Amino acid sequence: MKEISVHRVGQAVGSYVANKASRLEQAEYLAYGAEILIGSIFKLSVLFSVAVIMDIVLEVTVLLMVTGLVRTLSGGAHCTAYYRCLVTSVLTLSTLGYTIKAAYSFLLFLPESALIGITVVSAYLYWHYAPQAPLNKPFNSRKKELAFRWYTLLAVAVLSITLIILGANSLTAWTMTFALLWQAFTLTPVGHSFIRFLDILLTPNKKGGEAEC
Amino acid sequence: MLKFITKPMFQGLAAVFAVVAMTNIGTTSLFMMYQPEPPKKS
Repeated sequence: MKEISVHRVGQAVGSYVANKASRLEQAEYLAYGAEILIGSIFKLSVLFSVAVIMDIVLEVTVLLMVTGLVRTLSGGAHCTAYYRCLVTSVLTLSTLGYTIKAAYSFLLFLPESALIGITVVSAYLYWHYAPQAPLNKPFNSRKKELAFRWYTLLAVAVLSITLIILGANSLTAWTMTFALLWQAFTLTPVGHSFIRFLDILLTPNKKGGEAEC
Repeated sequence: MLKFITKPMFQGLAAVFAVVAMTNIGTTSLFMMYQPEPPKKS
């Protein structure tokens, strides 16, 4: 039996749509778009199903919005296959969401300076490590790289100001803080090692890494 | 009737796929930790 994967489904849907729309010359391109869309819909469905079961929908939504926005601009560590990415993303976001929810009664007693301190550490990591292009799509110019660097820093600045205004007694503020910290962590060498470790751990033949990405 | 609406529907779907592929929406944010391989330029 042929292996079912998001890549194969995307290719099949893209080719079918290209055929039906009389755009055969764009079949590969449409298949790429279909793969992104189908993969995203499936991943979001799994992520939010887990979030509903664990009653952490608000936390996961904020985590996803903040990490998604910043990651689009800053880049970060990658897994080498769709299903490993799916498991890693769902695992990290649901664990973070659940931990924030469980620790919220403790976080409430922390002063505003703790919130600002973590935000400053995150901002330093973005300043030092962003942006990072994926291996299969490197920056084609220094100008583009610099633009992504400043977009990242601008997004981080806006999010940081928002969470500081919300204050240390807001669950959303703490969720945004840990979302920024987690995303900054995935830019660091330790973060890359951690994602690579999960990637290898989830690989049946133990040959993970980022080379194929 | 079905034949009449089928082609515009698939053309619309093709346009959506093309925009997603062009903008790479999702490859870094929604996909978070996985980048699908873009087609090689011929």
